[in-house]
Amino acid sequence: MNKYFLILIICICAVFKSSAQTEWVVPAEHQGKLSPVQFTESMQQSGADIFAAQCKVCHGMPGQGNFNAMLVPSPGDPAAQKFQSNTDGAIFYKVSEGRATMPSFKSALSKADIWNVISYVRSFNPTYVQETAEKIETNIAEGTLLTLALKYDEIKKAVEVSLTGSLSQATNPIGGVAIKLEAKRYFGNLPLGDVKTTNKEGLVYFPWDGILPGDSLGNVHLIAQIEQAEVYGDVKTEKTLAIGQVNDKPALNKDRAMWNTVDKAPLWILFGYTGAVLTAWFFIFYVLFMIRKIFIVGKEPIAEDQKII
Amino acid sequence: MGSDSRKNELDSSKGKNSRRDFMRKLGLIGAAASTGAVVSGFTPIADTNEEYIKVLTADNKLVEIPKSQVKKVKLDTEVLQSRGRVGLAGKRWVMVIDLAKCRNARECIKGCQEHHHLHPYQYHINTLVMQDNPQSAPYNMPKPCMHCDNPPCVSVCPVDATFKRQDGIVLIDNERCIGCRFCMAACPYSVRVFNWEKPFREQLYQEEPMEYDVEANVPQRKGTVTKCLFSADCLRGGELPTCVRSCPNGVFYFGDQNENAVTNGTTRQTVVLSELLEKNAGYRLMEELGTKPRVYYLPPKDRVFDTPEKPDSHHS
Amino acid sequence: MSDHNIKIDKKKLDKIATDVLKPVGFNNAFINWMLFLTMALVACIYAYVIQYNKGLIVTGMRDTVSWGMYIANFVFFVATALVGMLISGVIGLLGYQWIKPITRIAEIIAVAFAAVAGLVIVSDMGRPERLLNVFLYGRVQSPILWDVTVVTTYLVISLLLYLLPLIPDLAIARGRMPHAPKWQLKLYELLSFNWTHHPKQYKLLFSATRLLIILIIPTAFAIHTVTSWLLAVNSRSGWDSTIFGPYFLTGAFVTGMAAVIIAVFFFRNNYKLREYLNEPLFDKMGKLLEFVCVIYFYFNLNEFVVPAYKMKEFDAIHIHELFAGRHAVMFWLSQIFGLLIPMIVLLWKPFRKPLPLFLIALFVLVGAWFKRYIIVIPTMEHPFLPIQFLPGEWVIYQPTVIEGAVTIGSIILGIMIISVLAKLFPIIPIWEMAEEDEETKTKII
Repeated sequence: MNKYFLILIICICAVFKSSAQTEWVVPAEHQGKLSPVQFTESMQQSGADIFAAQCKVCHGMPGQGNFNAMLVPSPGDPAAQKFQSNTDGAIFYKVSEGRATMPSFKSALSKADIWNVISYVRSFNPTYVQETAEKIETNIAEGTLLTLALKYDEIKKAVEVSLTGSLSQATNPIGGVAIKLEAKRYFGNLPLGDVKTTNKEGLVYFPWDGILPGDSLGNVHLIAQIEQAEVYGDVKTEKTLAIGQVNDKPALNKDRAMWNTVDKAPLWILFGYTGAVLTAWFFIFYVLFMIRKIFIVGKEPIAEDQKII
Repeated sequence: MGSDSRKNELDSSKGKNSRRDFMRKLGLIGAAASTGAVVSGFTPIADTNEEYIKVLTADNKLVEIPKSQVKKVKLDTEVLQSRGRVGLAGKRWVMVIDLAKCRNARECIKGCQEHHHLHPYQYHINTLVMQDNPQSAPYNMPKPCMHCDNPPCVSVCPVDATFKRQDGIVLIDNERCIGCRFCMAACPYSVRVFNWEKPFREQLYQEEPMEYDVEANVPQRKGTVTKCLFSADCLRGGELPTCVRSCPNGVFYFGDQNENAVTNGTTRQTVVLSELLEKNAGYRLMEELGTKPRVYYLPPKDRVFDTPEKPDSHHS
Repeated sequence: MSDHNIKIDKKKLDKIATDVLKPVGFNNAFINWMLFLTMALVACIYAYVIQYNKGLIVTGMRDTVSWGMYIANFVFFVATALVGMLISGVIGLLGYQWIKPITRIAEIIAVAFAAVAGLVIVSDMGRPERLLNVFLYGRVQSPILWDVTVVTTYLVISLLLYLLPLIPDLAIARGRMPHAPKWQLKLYELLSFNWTHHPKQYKLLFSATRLLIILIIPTAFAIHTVTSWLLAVNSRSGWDSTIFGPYFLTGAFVTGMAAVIIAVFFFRNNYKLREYLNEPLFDKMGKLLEFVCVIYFYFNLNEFVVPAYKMKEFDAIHIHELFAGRHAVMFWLSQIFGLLIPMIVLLWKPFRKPLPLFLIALFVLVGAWFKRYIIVIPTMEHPFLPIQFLPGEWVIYQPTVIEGAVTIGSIILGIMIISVLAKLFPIIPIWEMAEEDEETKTKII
């Protein structure tokens, strides 16, 4: 009796656990997020391309149910009811952030790309009616041209980013806007520290410890941009500053080593090898020379009694 | 924001692609012209009418030459060879493989075999099911070439067909290789494969002959060794290696050790290499052999996928 | 050294010359034998042509076992070639006189096997037409470059060591072979380099030979040590051994000694040279074989017992495969019949008589070939990382017919070279045999 009871409890736990696993709670502030623009045919097409490249491997083709069922939690078919019941904001959040087996795509895909994918996924839902985002009100006057500038502050040992707005020839600092700073690396941009909000003077300071590696002159290419691009527009500034660590690492094939090219072979092996070969062949040629001498001696006339045989 | 910026991004990405293709097909050979100009004391200020442009030479040096002296040259094998042997200056490529994320989807293998024209049984990268001891759970381990800093394969090559570049990549020149397979015997990671028969895409090579690119080892040749190249041709264009890009699970990070940053091929997040390795106890395979691999593994802890079935034996 | 007092017994010389020169010359039996060998060789070359056209896919080798029978065969050939050094070099320098009648046979074997070894390694190459790359782009760090260098050097030294003592014999033979064809006499004339039996010529010959037999010792050590390094420089279990050099070298002495005994037995009977290749000689050869077998056994003991005692992970797999696994039968047969039993029975004089010794040498030689197979293949079958996602036939090595044919072809070629040299020139050094005994002690040494 006890045994059955135990099994029952385990079953209940398992069900509870698996259901808990599939539950993906999206924070309330993200639920209501909406696309700033109406979905179009070309957005759907672009979304289809992205979907095929990034999502199909696990999710399969929407509507065909050929997603990878082996995965836990199940990726599910994007055309299915369960998937479509997500709000636009919830899908946006899930694609951006990822969870467990679902990778985060916030760096791989731009926000526009994610909206494209959503527009593509929504095209499989005939009952879907799109709502677009209301224009977000900011305290910055309409028509203000935002400008970011970036410089290194020697005294504060920090990278200073300033945000100014110019409207009808008047330029004023703008505070209260979140700025992120990134360094350009070969395959992508590396975020430097957390996102920071501009102060009353329109300035933010990113502390700089100088350990970020730069190029052979210590140059680092920095990019500062406004975090909420959908609110303020795509405002960014880029600058190369000689504030990084100088990269003076030698080329990896610089050493004399066994694995290197012949002219960079270790000296002991060069001398050892050539010495041995020269020695051996010197004696071989010496023997050949002696054979030649035998040949020459043979031309000398010799009395019969002098012959060994 | 909206469709316009999206369009821009699409266009710019298109532009990137076409530029890359262009760079593959066409090279700008300007080194000779620029030295000539320097020797004759020819400076940009002297002749203001002359327009100068910046050109990336075959050995990846940025030079400025008069625009009138630029000639577009078809990249022939010789140019591909010389730039392929030199490599990219100031770089030290490094790969990080997060074992916790690998579910053996084998997408990296698919992409790689496509890129390098391999038979289905030829692996530049292979995912193995490993089990370190009878008690520990099996895990999937993608195994590319380790691009060792002390490569046993390069040590033994009799003809300099396999070589190490300044950026750390170990390449194989199949126009030089004599097919002795000493390197295969020397490699403790068994990453080298041989073209035992005619190449997989032999027909393609006959229909449209192509220049040999040592950085992709394409076209493949019968009777020569081939191996993982970290997609050296992609790196030149600023693109991640094929396997890194093909992974759907974010297993691979790739980057430049000199920049101390690696970029995930799936999520495209760029992270600090030293922090990634420190936090996750990164290790290298068979450290005791002294090969100094350029590939790091993050242990399969807190896995996001089910453990694979146990391999038949540790040794299959 | 400068004052050799070589005295030759003219009467003895006449008799030896008559006996030794009798079998020389291409008779019908020889031509038929060569025709047979040529036909067999053509079939083997055809097999190689198939391999050349289709690629190494026609062999049993795959990515796991990427070195197979060809490399094992190469090691065997190099090993056998080493006997020239053992006989002329080591034993000769020590001043033993009994080796006189077999020095030339030993050198013939050295020349033939060293020459064929070079070809065997070419047959293993995926791109044989690029052989020249080794000289154009040779990397001085690669053991293959050392191997190529040292095999060539050893071949040249062996050839010279074969040719030099032949010069007086050819001069002797020229006057005594009235029925020989013209081209043969012409060749004798050419290769006897104006030999007039001038004391100065003998002096030169002695110092040249002496120089060569000193030179051949380090060269022979190098050739087989380097061959062992082709395997030992890799970190795979079974090859990763510090005693591989001496282990191979002593193994080579066993193999070469067995080959010489077989050849001497053959010439004794077929060339009717029982008087010179006599029972005391076989007794001596038997003792030498026993000696090298004991040393080789000692190295085997070290090579297998030490890792078997510790049973490190990958060594354990290797040892298990050899002792009780897939290769156990071949391993134990080659060890017991190719080494252990010969080593024991050779202690008794009756087993050192010609026929028993010949049979023992046959076992030793065949065992030695399989021993090389055991050294090369099992190690390749278990690399450090598991072999997965490969077709089954790619994992386990199974030599193919074509591979076998090419290997047999190399053996045929070796036999052909030996046959031609043994029929073209006298097989026993006439003048050395005719030397008066009390003087000979000072000859080469």
